[in-house]
Amino acid sequence: MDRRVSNWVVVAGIAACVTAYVWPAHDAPVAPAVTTAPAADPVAATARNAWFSAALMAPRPGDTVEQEPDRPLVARNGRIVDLNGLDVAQFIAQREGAARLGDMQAVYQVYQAEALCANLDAPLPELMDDADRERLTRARTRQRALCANVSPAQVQERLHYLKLAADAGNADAQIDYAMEMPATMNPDDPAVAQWKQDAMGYLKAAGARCNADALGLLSNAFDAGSLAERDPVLAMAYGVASARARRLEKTPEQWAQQFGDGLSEADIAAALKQSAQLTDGACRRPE
Amino acid sequence: MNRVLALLLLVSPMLAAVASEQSTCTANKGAYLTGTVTSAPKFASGSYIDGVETSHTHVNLKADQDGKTYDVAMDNVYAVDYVKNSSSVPASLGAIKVGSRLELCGEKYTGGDVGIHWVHSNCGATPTSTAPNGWVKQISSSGSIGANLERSQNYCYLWN
Repeated sequence: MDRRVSNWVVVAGIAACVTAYVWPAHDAPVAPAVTTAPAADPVAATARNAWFSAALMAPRPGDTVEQEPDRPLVARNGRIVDLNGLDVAQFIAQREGAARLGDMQAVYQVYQAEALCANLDAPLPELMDDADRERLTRARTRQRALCANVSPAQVQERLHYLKLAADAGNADAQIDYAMEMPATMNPDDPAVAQWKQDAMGYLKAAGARCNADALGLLSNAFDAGSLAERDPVLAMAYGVASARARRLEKTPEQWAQQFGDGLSEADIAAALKQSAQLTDGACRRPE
Repeated sequence: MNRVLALLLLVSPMLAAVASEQSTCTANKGAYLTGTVTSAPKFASGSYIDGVETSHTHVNLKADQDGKTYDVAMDNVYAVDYVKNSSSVPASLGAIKVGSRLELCGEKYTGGDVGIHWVHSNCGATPTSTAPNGWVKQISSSGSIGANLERSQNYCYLWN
Protein backbone atom coordinates (compact mmCIF):
# COMPACT_ATOMS: atom_id res chain seq x y z
CA MET A 1 0.00 0.00 0.00
CA ASP A 2 1.18 3.54 -0.85
CA ARG A 3 2.77 5.02 2.30
CA ARG A 4 0.74 8.28 2.06
CA VAL A 5 -2.51 6.32 1.71
CA SER A 6 -1.58 4.16 4.67
CA ASN A 7 -0.97 7.29 6.78
CA TRP A 8 -4.41 8.64 5.80
CA VAL A 9 -5.99 5.35 6.82
CA VAL A 10 -4.35 5.61 10.23
CA VAL A 11 -5.49 9.25 10.62
CA ALA A 12 -9.04 8.35 9.54
CA GLY A 13 -9.09 5.46 12.04
CA ILE A 14 -8.02 7.72 14.89
CA ALA A 15 -10.62 10.32 13.88
CA ALA A 16 -13.34 7.65 13.82
CA CYS A 17 -12.35 6.45 17.30
CA VAL A 18 -12.33 9.98 18.70
CA THR A 19 -15.73 10.70 17.12
CA ALA A 20 -17.20 7.48 18.48
CA TYR A 21 -15.92 8.36 21.94
CA VAL A 22 -17.12 11.96 21.95
CA TRP A 23 -20.42 11.71 20.04
CA PRO A 24 -22.53 9.87 22.65
CA ALA A 25 -21.46 12.36 25.34
CA HIS A 26 -22.95 15.24 23.36
CA ASP A 27 -26.07 13.21 22.74
CA ALA A 28 -26.41 12.30 26.42
CA PRO A 29 -30.05 12.59 27.46
CA VAL A 30 -31.09 15.66 29.40
CA ALA A 31 -34.10 13.96 30.95
CA PRO A 32 -33.88 12.88 34.61
CA ALA A 33 -31.71 9.86 35.23
CA VAL A 34 -33.40 6.53 34.79
CA THR A 35 -32.07 3.84 37.08
CA THR A 36 -31.60 0.41 35.67
CA ALA A 37 -32.13 -2.91 37.36
CA PRO A 38 -28.77 -4.09 38.70
CA ALA A 39 -27.75 -7.70 38.70
CA ALA A 40 -25.92 -8.48 41.90
CA ASP A 41 -26.12 -5.59 44.33
CA PRO A 42 -29.32 -3.60 43.84
CA VAL A 43 -28.48 -0.68 46.11
CA ALA A 44 -24.92 -0.23 45.07
CA ALA A 45 -25.18 -0.81 41.37
CA THR A 46 -28.32 1.25 40.82
CA ALA A 47 -26.98 4.10 42.85
CA ARG A 48 -23.82 3.97 40.83
CA ASN A 49 -25.80 4.15 37.58
CA ALA A 50 -27.71 7.12 38.95
CA TRP A 51 -24.51 8.87 39.94
CA PHE A 52 -22.97 8.43 36.55
CA SER A 53 -26.20 9.46 34.83
CA ALA A 54 -26.14 12.60 36.93
CA ALA A 55 -22.52 13.16 36.03
CA LEU A 56 -23.33 12.77 32.34
CA MET A 57 -26.16 15.25 32.69
CA ALA A 58 -23.99 17.88 34.32
CA PRO A 59 -23.76 20.95 32.08
CA ARG A 60 -20.62 21.06 29.94
CA PRO A 61 -18.80 24.14 28.75
CA GLY A 62 -19.96 23.60 25.17
CA ASP A 63 -23.64 23.17 26.01
CA THR A 64 -26.02 25.98 25.23
CA VAL A 65 -28.48 27.21 27.84
CA GLU A 66 -31.41 26.07 25.67
CA GLN A 67 -30.30 22.43 25.93
CA GLU A 68 -30.58 22.36 29.71
CA PRO A 69 -33.78 21.22 31.35
CA ASP A 70 -35.73 23.63 33.52
CA ARG A 71 -35.53 22.96 37.21
CA PRO A 72 -38.88 21.92 38.63
CA LEU A 73 -40.82 24.38 40.79
CA VAL A 74 -39.96 23.60 44.39
CA ALA A 75 -41.95 25.02 47.31
CA ARG A 76 -40.51 25.91 50.70
CA ASN A 77 -41.50 22.47 52.01
CA GLY A 78 -39.32 20.76 49.37
CA ARG A 79 -42.24 19.47 47.33
CA ILE A 80 -42.38 19.88 43.58
CA VAL A 81 -45.45 21.91 42.64
CA ASP A 82 -47.53 21.57 39.49
CA LEU A 83 -49.86 24.53 38.93
CA ASN A 84 -51.55 23.02 35.87
CA GLY A 85 -50.44 25.91 33.70
CA LEU A 86 -51.85 28.59 36.01
CA ASP A 87 -49.99 31.17 38.01
CA VAL A 88 -50.17 30.93 41.78
CA ALA A 89 -52.86 33.58 42.19
CA GLN A 90 -55.09 31.88 39.59
CA PHE A 91 -54.48 28.49 41.21
CA ILE A 92 -55.44 29.83 44.63
CA ALA A 93 -58.49 31.67 43.28
CA GLN A 94 -59.88 28.39 41.94
CA ARG A 95 -59.66 26.71 45.35
CA GLU A 96 -59.84 29.41 47.98
CA GLY A 97 -63.63 29.38 48.28
CA ALA A 98 -63.68 25.65 48.96
CA ALA A 99 -60.77 26.01 51.34
CA ARG A 100 -62.59 28.66 53.35
CA LEU A 101 -65.58 26.34 53.56
CA GLY A 102 -63.37 23.66 55.12
CA ASP A 103 -62.60 21.43 52.13
CA MET A 104 -59.36 19.93 53.43
CA GLN A 105 -58.07 18.93 50.01
CA ALA A 106 -58.49 22.54 48.85
CA VAL A 107 -56.91 23.77 52.08
CA TYR A 108 -53.79 21.74 51.43
CA GLN A 109 -53.63 22.73 47.75
CA VAL A 110 -53.85 26.43 48.61
CA TYR A 111 -51.11 25.98 51.19
CA GLN A 112 -48.95 24.15 48.68
CA ALA A 113 -49.27 26.89 46.07
CA GLU A 114 -48.60 29.65 48.59
CA ALA A 115 -45.54 27.76 49.83
CA LEU A 116 -44.09 28.09 46.34
CA CYS A 117 -43.89 31.85 46.96
CA ALA A 118 -42.31 31.55 50.40
CA ASN A 119 -38.71 30.96 49.42
CA LEU A 120 -38.22 33.62 46.75
CA ASP A 121 -35.76 35.61 48.82
CA ALA A 122 -33.59 32.71 49.95
CA PRO A 123 -30.02 33.50 48.92
CA LEU A 124 -28.52 31.42 46.15
CA PRO A 125 -25.73 29.14 47.35
CA GLU A 126 -22.10 29.18 46.33
CA LEU A 127 -22.22 27.07 43.19
CA MET A 128 -19.78 24.80 41.45
CA ASP A 129 -20.15 26.41 38.03
CA ASP A 130 -21.73 29.27 36.13
CA ALA A 131 -24.12 27.07 34.16
CA ASP A 132 -25.60 25.81 37.42
CA ARG A 133 -25.98 29.40 38.67
CA GLU A 134 -27.68 30.32 35.42
CA ARG A 135 -30.20 27.50 35.80
CA LEU A 136 -30.95 28.33 39.43
CA THR A 137 -31.34 32.02 38.63
CA ARG A 138 -33.65 31.19 35.72
CA ALA A 139 -35.77 28.95 37.97
CA ARG A 140 -35.99 31.69 40.60
CA THR A 141 -37.05 34.23 37.94
CA ARG A 142 -39.76 31.86 36.70
CA GLN A 143 -40.94 31.34 40.27
CA ARG A 144 -41.08 35.11 40.90
CA ALA A 145 -43.19 35.59 37.78
CA LEU A 146 -45.64 32.90 38.89
CA CYS A 147 -45.91 34.57 42.31
CA ALA A 148 -46.24 38.10 40.97
CA ASN A 149 -49.88 38.47 41.99
CA VAL A 150 -49.58 36.86 45.39
CA SER A 151 -49.48 39.19 48.39
CA PRO A 152 -47.15 38.84 51.38
CA ALA A 153 -50.29 38.32 53.48
CA GLN A 154 -51.19 35.27 51.39
CA VAL A 155 -47.70 33.88 51.78
CA GLN A 156 -48.01 34.31 55.54
CA GLU A 157 -51.51 32.82 55.50
CA ARG A 158 -50.14 29.53 54.19
CA LEU A 159 -49.09 28.52 57.70
CA HIS A 160 -52.70 28.81 58.86
CA TYR A 161 -53.81 26.51 56.06
CA LEU A 162 -50.91 24.17 56.74
CA LYS A 163 -51.89 23.81 60.38
CA LEU A 164 -55.52 23.21 59.43
CA ALA A 165 -54.51 20.38 57.11
CA ALA A 166 -52.04 18.93 59.62
CA ASP A 167 -54.61 19.03 62.42
CA ALA A 168 -57.06 17.27 60.12
CA GLY A 169 -54.61 14.37 59.85
CA ASN A 170 -53.12 15.01 56.41
CA ALA A 171 -49.77 13.19 56.69
CA ASP A 172 -48.17 15.26 53.92
CA ALA A 173 -49.12 18.45 55.78
CA GLN A 174 -47.78 16.98 59.02
CA ILE A 175 -44.44 16.38 57.33
CA ASP A 176 -44.52 19.80 55.66
CA TYR A 177 -44.97 21.45 59.05
CA ALA A 178 -41.60 20.03 60.06
CA MET A 179 -40.05 21.14 56.78
CA GLU A 180 -41.38 24.69 57.22
CA MET A 181 -38.82 25.48 59.88
CA PRO A 182 -38.59 29.04 61.16
CA ALA A 183 -36.26 31.36 59.26
CA THR A 184 -34.01 31.72 62.29
CA MET A 185 -33.50 28.87 64.72
CA ASN A 186 -32.67 30.79 67.88
CA PRO A 187 -33.05 28.14 70.60
CA ASP A 188 -34.09 30.81 73.13
CA ASP A 189 -37.00 31.94 70.98
CA PRO A 190 -40.28 30.55 72.43
CA ALA A 191 -41.73 30.39 68.91
CA VAL A 192 -38.89 28.07 67.84
CA ALA A 193 -39.43 25.86 70.90
CA GLN A 194 -43.15 25.71 70.11
CA TRP A 195 -42.49 24.87 66.48
CA LYS A 196 -40.15 22.03 67.49
CA GLN A 197 -42.74 20.61 69.85
CA ASP A 198 -45.51 20.84 67.25
CA ALA A 199 -43.29 19.43 64.50
CA MET A 200 -42.38 16.41 66.63
CA GLY A 201 -46.06 15.87 67.46
CA TYR A 202 -47.07 15.95 63.81
CA LEU A 203 -44.24 13.67 62.71
CA LYS A 204 -45.12 11.16 65.41
CA ALA A 205 -48.77 11.30 64.36
CA ALA A 206 -47.82 10.56 60.74
CA GLY A 207 -45.33 7.92 61.89
CA ALA A 208 -48.02 6.23 63.94
CA ARG A 209 -49.82 5.66 60.64
CA CYS A 210 -46.71 4.01 59.17
CA ASN A 211 -45.61 6.99 57.09
CA ALA A 212 -42.05 6.08 56.08
CA ASP A 213 -41.00 9.68 55.39
CA ALA A 214 -42.15 10.83 58.82
CA LEU A 215 -40.40 7.92 60.52
CA GLY A 216 -37.21 8.75 58.62
CA LEU A 217 -37.38 12.41 59.61
CA LEU A 218 -37.83 11.36 63.23
CA SER A 219 -34.72 9.20 62.92
CA ASN A 220 -32.75 12.17 61.66
CA ALA A 221 -34.25 14.44 64.32
CA PHE A 222 -33.01 12.14 67.10
CA ASP A 223 -29.69 11.60 65.32
CA ALA A 224 -28.90 15.27 64.75
CA GLY A 225 -30.64 16.53 67.90
CA SER A 226 -32.43 19.09 65.77
CA LEU A 227 -36.05 18.82 66.91
CA ALA A 228 -35.49 16.84 70.09
CA GLU A 229 -32.63 15.92 72.35
CA ARG A 230 -30.11 13.66 70.66
CA ASP A 231 -30.89 9.98 71.23
CA PRO A 232 -28.94 7.44 69.15
CA VAL A 233 -31.17 4.55 70.27
CA LEU A 234 -34.32 6.29 69.07
CA ALA A 235 -32.48 7.37 65.91
CA MET A 236 -31.85 3.70 65.15
CA ALA A 237 -35.36 2.64 66.19
CA TYR A 238 -37.00 5.17 63.85
CA GLY A 239 -34.47 4.45 61.08
CA VAL A 240 -35.32 0.75 61.12
CA ALA A 241 -39.03 1.58 61.41
CA SER A 242 -38.80 3.81 58.35
CA ALA A 243 -37.12 1.05 56.34
CA ARG A 244 -39.71 -1.47 57.55
CA ALA A 245 -42.49 0.92 56.57
CA ARG A 246 -41.06 0.66 53.05
CA ARG A 247 -41.46 -3.12 53.40
CA LEU A 248 -37.76 -3.80 53.77
CA GLU A 249 -37.09 -6.77 56.04
CA LYS A 250 -33.70 -7.79 57.38
CA THR A 251 -32.30 -9.92 60.16
CA PRO A 252 -31.50 -8.23 63.51
CA GLU A 253 -27.79 -8.62 62.68
CA GLN A 254 -28.28 -6.83 59.35
CA TRP A 255 -30.23 -3.99 60.98
CA ALA A 256 -27.50 -3.72 63.60
CA GLN A 257 -24.85 -3.51 60.90
CA GLN A 258 -26.79 -0.87 58.97
CA PHE A 259 -28.00 1.37 61.78
CA GLY A 260 -26.13 0.36 64.93
CA ASP A 261 -22.82 2.13 64.39
CA GLY A 262 -21.38 3.10 67.78
CA LEU A 263 -24.18 1.47 69.81
CA SER A 264 -23.72 -1.26 72.39
CA GLU A 265 -25.44 -4.63 71.98
CA ALA A 266 -27.92 -3.66 74.69
CA ASP A 267 -28.71 -0.37 72.92
CA ILE A 268 -29.21 -2.17 69.61
CA ALA A 269 -31.55 -4.67 71.23
CA ALA A 270 -33.51 -1.80 72.80
CA ALA A 271 -33.67 0.02 69.45
CA LEU A 272 -34.94 -3.06 67.62
CA LYS A 273 -37.57 -3.65 70.28
CA GLN A 274 -38.78 -0.04 70.00
CA SER A 275 -38.72 -0.25 66.23
CA ALA A 276 -40.96 -3.33 66.38
CA GLN A 277 -43.34 -1.49 68.70
CA LEU A 278 -43.45 1.44 66.27
CA THR A 279 -44.24 -0.66 63.23
CA ASP A 280 -46.10 -3.73 64.46
CA GLY A 281 -49.31 -1.87 65.05
CA ALA A 282 -48.97 1.01 62.61
CA CYS A 283 -47.75 -0.94 59.63
CA ARG A 284 -49.88 -4.06 59.96
CA ARG A 285 -51.68 -4.61 56.71
CA PRO A 286 -54.89 -6.52 56.13
CA GLU A 287 -54.35 -10.24 55.50
CA MET B 1 14.39 11.25 76.65
CA ASN B 2 11.45 11.67 79.01
CA ARG B 3 9.99 14.30 76.70
CA VAL B 4 10.23 11.95 73.74
CA LEU B 5 8.51 9.22 75.71
CA ALA B 6 5.78 11.62 76.82
CA LEU B 7 5.26 12.73 73.21
CA LEU B 8 5.06 9.14 72.04
CA LEU B 9 2.52 8.35 74.75
CA LEU B 10 0.49 11.35 73.63
CA VAL B 11 0.64 10.61 69.93
CA SER B 12 0.33 6.82 69.90
CA PRO B 13 -3.42 6.68 70.69
CA MET B 14 -4.08 9.07 67.78
CA LEU B 15 -1.94 6.98 65.45
CA ALA B 16 -3.74 3.86 66.61
CA ALA B 17 -7.11 5.53 65.98
CA VAL B 18 -6.09 6.54 62.46
CA ALA B 19 -4.80 3.02 61.75
CA SER B 20 -8.08 1.58 63.00
CA GLU B 21 -10.09 3.97 60.81
CA GLN B 22 -7.99 3.09 57.81
CA SER B 23 -8.47 -0.64 58.34
CA THR B 24 -12.22 -0.15 58.79
CA CYS B 25 -12.31 1.76 55.50
CA THR B 26 -10.37 -1.04 53.81
CA ALA B 27 -12.84 -3.58 55.22
CA ASN B 28 -15.62 -1.35 53.85
CA LYS B 29 -13.90 -1.60 50.43
CA GLY B 30 -13.18 2.12 50.35
CA ALA B 31 -10.20 4.30 49.48
CA TYR B 32 -8.95 6.17 52.53
CA LEU B 33 -7.83 9.79 52.49
CA THR B 34 -7.08 12.41 55.09
CA GLY B 35 -6.19 15.99 54.35
CA THR B 36 -6.82 19.68 54.62
CA VAL B 37 -9.75 21.44 52.97
CA THR B 38 -8.60 24.10 50.52
CA SER B 39 -11.92 25.43 49.19
CA ALA B 40 -15.22 26.34 50.83
CA PRO B 41 -18.25 24.06 50.27
CA LYS B 42 -20.09 24.65 47.00
CA PHE B 43 -23.48 23.38 45.86
CA ALA B 44 -23.96 21.40 42.67
CA SER B 45 -27.39 20.63 41.28
CA GLY B 46 -28.26 17.06 40.43
CA SER B 47 -30.80 14.96 38.61
CA TYR B 48 -34.17 14.09 40.14
CA ILE B 49 -35.08 10.58 41.20
CA ASP B 50 -38.70 10.12 42.30
CA GLY B 51 -39.01 13.87 42.88
CA VAL B 52 -35.84 14.12 44.98
CA GLU B 53 -32.87 16.09 43.70
CA THR B 54 -29.59 14.22 44.10
CA SER B 55 -27.52 17.36 44.62
CA HIS B 56 -23.96 17.42 45.91
CA THR B 57 -21.67 19.57 48.00
CA HIS B 58 -18.08 19.86 46.81
CA VAL B 59 -14.88 20.86 48.56
CA ASN B 60 -11.26 20.50 47.51
CA LEU B 61 -8.96 18.57 49.80
CA LYS B 62 -5.16 18.40 49.72
CA ALA B 63 -4.42 14.81 50.68
CA ASP B 64 -1.79 13.85 53.24
CA GLN B 65 -1.14 10.60 51.43
CA ASP B 66 0.01 11.89 48.02
CA GLY B 67 -0.14 15.69 48.16
CA LYS B 68 -2.73 15.78 45.37
CA THR B 69 -5.80 18.02 45.53
CA TYR B 70 -9.00 15.97 45.35
CA ASP B 71 -12.48 17.15 44.43
CA VAL B 72 -14.64 15.72 47.22
CA ALA B 73 -18.22 15.12 46.04
CA MET B 74 -20.60 14.64 48.98
CA ASP B 75 -24.21 13.59 48.35
CA ASN B 76 -26.50 16.00 50.17
CA VAL B 77 -29.24 13.42 50.71
CA TYR B 78 -26.99 11.51 53.12
CA ALA B 79 -26.56 14.50 55.46
CA VAL B 80 -28.77 14.17 58.56
CA ASP B 81 -29.91 17.77 58.13
CA TYR B 82 -30.65 17.52 54.40
CA VAL B 83 -33.76 19.48 53.49
CA LYS B 84 -35.53 17.82 50.58
CA ASN B 85 -34.85 19.59 47.27
CA SER B 86 -33.22 22.54 48.96
CA SER B 87 -30.80 24.36 46.69
CA SER B 88 -28.41 25.10 49.50
CA VAL B 89 -25.64 23.24 51.23
CA PRO B 90 -26.84 21.31 54.33
CA ALA B 91 -25.66 23.11 57.47
CA SER B 92 -23.58 20.15 58.65
CA LEU B 93 -21.60 20.13 55.39
CA GLY B 94 -21.51 23.93 55.25
CA ALA B 95 -19.69 23.83 58.59
CA ILE B 96 -16.63 22.46 56.78
CA LYS B 97 -14.23 25.39 56.48
CA VAL B 98 -11.07 26.07 54.52
CA GLY B 99 -8.35 24.64 56.74
CA SER B 100 -10.63 21.99 58.26
CA ARG B 101 -9.17 18.52 58.44
CA LEU B 102 -11.24 15.69 56.98
CA GLU B 103 -11.08 11.94 56.94
CA LEU B 104 -12.70 10.34 53.90
CA CYS B 105 -13.59 6.83 52.91
CA GLY B 106 -15.01 6.44 49.42
CA GLU B 107 -14.20 5.70 45.81
CA LYS B 108 -11.53 7.67 44.03
CA TYR B 109 -12.30 8.76 40.50
CA THR B 110 -10.54 10.49 37.67
CA GLY B 111 -11.97 12.44 34.79
CA GLY B 112 -9.65 15.33 34.17
CA ASP B 113 -9.27 16.15 37.84
CA VAL B 114 -8.80 13.66 40.61
CA GLY B 115 -11.62 13.27 43.07
CA ILE B 116 -13.36 11.06 45.55
CA HIS B 117 -17.06 10.32 45.80
CA TRP B 118 -19.34 7.71 47.40
CA VAL B 119 -18.18 9.08 50.74
CA HIS B 120 -21.42 7.98 52.38
CA SER B 121 -23.26 5.03 53.85
CA ASN B 122 -24.02 2.31 51.34
CA CYS B 123 -27.43 1.64 52.89
CA GLY B 124 -26.50 -1.70 54.39
CA ALA B 125 -25.59 -3.31 51.08
CA THR B 126 -22.50 -5.50 50.89
CA PRO B 127 -19.71 -3.04 50.14
CA THR B 128 -17.68 -3.27 46.95
CA SER B 129 -14.77 -1.23 45.67
CA THR B 130 -17.15 0.75 43.45
CA ALA B 131 -19.79 1.09 46.17
CA PRO B 132 -17.96 1.18 49.48
CA ASN B 133 -19.52 1.86 52.86
CA GLY B 134 -17.97 5.30 53.06
CA TRP B 135 -17.85 8.38 55.22
CA VAL B 136 -16.86 12.00 55.72
CA LYS B 137 -15.57 12.79 59.20
CA GLN B 138 -14.09 15.97 60.60
CA ILE B 139 -10.78 15.66 62.45
CA SER B 140 -10.59 18.14 65.31
CA SER B 141 -7.46 20.11 66.18
CA SER B 142 -6.88 17.65 69.04
CA GLY B 143 -6.95 14.77 66.55
CA SER B 144 -10.27 13.31 67.61
CA ILE B 145 -12.46 12.02 64.80
CA GLY B 146 -16.08 13.11 64.55
CA ALA B 147 -19.20 11.29 63.42
CA ASN B 148 -19.86 10.46 59.80
CA LEU B 149 -21.48 13.54 58.23
CA GLU B 150 -22.92 11.35 55.47
CA ARG B 151 -24.80 8.77 57.53
CA SER B 152 -28.50 9.47 56.97
CA GLN B 153 -30.31 6.57 55.33
CA ASN B 154 -33.66 8.24 54.75
CA TYR B 155 -33.27 8.33 51.01
CA CYS B 156 -31.79 4.85 50.50
CA TYR B 157 -35.19 3.86 49.11
CA LEU B 158 -34.46 5.91 45.98
CA TRP B 159 -32.00 3.23 44.93
CA ASN B 160 -33.75 0.18 46.33
